Amino acid sequence: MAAGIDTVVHPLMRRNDVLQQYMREPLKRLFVAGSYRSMYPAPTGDPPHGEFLASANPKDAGPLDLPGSDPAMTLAFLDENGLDFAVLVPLTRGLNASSNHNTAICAATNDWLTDVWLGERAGRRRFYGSICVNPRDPEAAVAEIRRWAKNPAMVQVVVPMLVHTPYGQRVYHPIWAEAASHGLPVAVRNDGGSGLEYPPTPVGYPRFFIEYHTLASGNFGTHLASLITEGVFEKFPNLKFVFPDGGHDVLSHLGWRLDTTFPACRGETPWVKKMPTEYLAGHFRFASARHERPSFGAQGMADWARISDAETLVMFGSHYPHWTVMRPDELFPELPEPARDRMLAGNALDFYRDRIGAEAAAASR
Amino acid sequence: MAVKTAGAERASQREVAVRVVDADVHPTLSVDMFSEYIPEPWRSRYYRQSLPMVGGLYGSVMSFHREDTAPPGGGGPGSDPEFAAKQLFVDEKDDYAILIPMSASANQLTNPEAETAFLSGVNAFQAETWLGKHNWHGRFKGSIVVSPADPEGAAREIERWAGHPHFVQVGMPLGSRTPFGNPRHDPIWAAAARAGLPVGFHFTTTASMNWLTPAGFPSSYLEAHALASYQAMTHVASFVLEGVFEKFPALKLAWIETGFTWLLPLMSRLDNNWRDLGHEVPLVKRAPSEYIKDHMRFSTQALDDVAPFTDLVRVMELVEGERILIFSTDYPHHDTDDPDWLEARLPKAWRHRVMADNAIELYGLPRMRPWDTFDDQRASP
Amino acid sequence: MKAGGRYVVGSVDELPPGTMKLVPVGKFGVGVYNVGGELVALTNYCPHRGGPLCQGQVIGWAEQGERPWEIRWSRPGEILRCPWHQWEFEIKSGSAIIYQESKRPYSIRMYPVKVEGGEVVLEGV
Repeated sequence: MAAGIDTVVHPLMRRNDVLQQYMREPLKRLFVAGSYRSMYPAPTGDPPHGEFLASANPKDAGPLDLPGSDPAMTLAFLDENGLDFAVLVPLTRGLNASSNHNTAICAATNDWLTDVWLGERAGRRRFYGSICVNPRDPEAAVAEIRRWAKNPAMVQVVVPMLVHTPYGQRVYHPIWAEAASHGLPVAVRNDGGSGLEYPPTPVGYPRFFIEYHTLASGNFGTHLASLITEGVFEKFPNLKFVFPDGGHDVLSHLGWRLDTTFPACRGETPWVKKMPTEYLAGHFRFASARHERPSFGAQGMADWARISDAETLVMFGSHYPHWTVMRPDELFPELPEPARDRMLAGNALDFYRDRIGAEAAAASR
Repeated sequence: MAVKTAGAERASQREVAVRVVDADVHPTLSVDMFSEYIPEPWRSRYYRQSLPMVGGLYGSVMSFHREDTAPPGGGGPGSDPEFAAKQLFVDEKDDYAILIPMSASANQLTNPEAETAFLSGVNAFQAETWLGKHNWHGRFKGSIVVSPADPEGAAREIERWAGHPHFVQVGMPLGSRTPFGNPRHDPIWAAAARAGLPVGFHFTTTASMNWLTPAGFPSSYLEAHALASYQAMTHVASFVLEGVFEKFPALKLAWIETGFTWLLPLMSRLDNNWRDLGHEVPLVKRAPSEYIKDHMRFSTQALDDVAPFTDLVRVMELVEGERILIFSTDYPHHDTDDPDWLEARLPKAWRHRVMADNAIELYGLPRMRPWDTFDDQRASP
Repeated sequence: MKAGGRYVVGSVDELPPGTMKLVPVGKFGVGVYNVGGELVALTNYCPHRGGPLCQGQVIGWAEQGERPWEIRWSRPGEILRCPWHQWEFEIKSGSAIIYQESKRPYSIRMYPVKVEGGEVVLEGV
């Protein structure tokens, strides 16, 4: 039976103050908003703040206990949906003002994740993790990657989407060099926080959550355009990126725009050796997202999936316990089984090839 | 002048069916051309002769204008209305050209009142020249340029020109500090809707904050240009989700040189999100994609480089391109689309709609126009 | 001056290295280029979207320089840039250089050109 791999699960801490238990003096004294901090409150009505499923609250949860914090419940979600493995993508809620504080939060999050989530359950590994690093401090980020690179449970590096400089620029290259040297892909996640960030759209702040949410995952475009244009993949040929919040639906348009404009601009960036879209299949993947589902009828869906190369570029991600949770049967149901199998498991097995262990590979046979 | 007389004679005798409306033509205006039209005290204070260049931050090694558009008499591409008319109406096959004076668009970075004064000078200059003494053929149609940073001033400027025979739209830039659906802009939409004028948005290579993406400033023109369509996406979502079309049912919008293939994901996302979260925005009564198709039009240039081209046609079908696309050349810029090349590649049943009809309806143009001297020149070159 | 499948462009002296002459051959015209002594004839029609290719600038080729921020300019006079969408073509081969392996290996339609008795002659017209 084919493995189902859930490439996006968000583990939360039992309570926000658990983070401080993994931090040291004196930075542990600094306030951290934790999973409560978000730019726009979600109007779903799910307590406590609308963003996560009420059904994911731990049993006998007290007022400070957070949904999605119980590994056993997350495992039950995987089992109910035929998913063997999950890649955990913790949320650190945007950039704090103090960069060194950010670095400490990332390290503490990685320690917590390993401690609570990444052990074996019933004799085998079900959860894999992401190494949180602070992109504002490349030197510190490199050190943190090095700290975890040999841990077989860590399958990728994760950085926030909203930063001050697009990820292709040279200031970040030491981080990508380190990740590439260990064969680690990089995930760029939408943290949703109201940290030290620019407005979430290029024309300012929307007023409503629905406006914000409709567009937010599309912001990967800045980084994708930057990574290609700065020749990052010529420099690090084995480097790969994944966008856990989705955005594959917007990708086609962006790729075409880049291709259309590139010939006129090639002289400015001659280290780009191919048409921009020729870098996509080899270096980028996108997690599925429920709200990207086109509603054009079955033929329209099939055509769109082909035009947008969904079968190659999309990996299933549930986003559990986020309110946007998606189940495997919602993933391109109109497409034939082989294509769905690639998105449900095959692409993730290839993408995390050196990392997801023999157990996952065996389960897929 | 013999040519003019001939045109006048023919005009009374013969009409031509309008087959090509060009929704994006750029007269190149510089401050020294129109400063006398800028009202006081702003003219004397800031705009006596020339303006330090605010925009053009991201350049490129490309040549911005088509090589063959420089007027023989000098002045740079797009500066000579008579030469432009020849190139558009004789060498090309435009019946009407919608002018969008991009080089004098709103930056919204400084004093809103001064910006409105500046732009009102542009409009007065347009009315006098490109739409006045150089519009003896009546084929140039213009845009009333206004600043999103000064909604009240914009509304006054729209009211000032409403009813003018050759202003067919309100022209606005794409850059903004606030998404355009935000109620602070309502006076602009109210005035446009009252005047029966669509609002056209055009991508501009302006300054500083207009280039900021949520993840910082890109470092090349390639990135900045490719990412500009996100500005349009955000505004489109904002117009729909803020219920602007419920507030102003007569309002129509045109999105010029913003691309349109992003409509496929955006319409889906909007419809999906509205299904789940529509209660947050009770003003929105219908599926967002319906508002978009009813109230918005999108220019074709520059057509995305898609291989194979049939994939692009399929995307056009899925977004109901037959209804919503309007042809444009972006004269005199370099990345133009030739009308014959484009028309030949559209599904046959669509051609008249995309090349002319959709724009005729949007801009209130006639379906038949008088035969004129340009038709003579096309008939016997 | 046409002679069957040939077209006399003009005398060799009219076309020194670094120059181009556009002649009214075929539907779009043909531009005859002298690139460092070698004569090349390109149809004045861009294979990308039909632009007037021979109105484009003849330039060099931008490459990565030694240090990451540097760009090296090489092969001056060997590259033709279409005036519309700015696609870069290697004049001598007529091909869009870096897109060889892409889905868009564009090539310009070329004509054989030779020098006979001091005259530049197009063949296959």
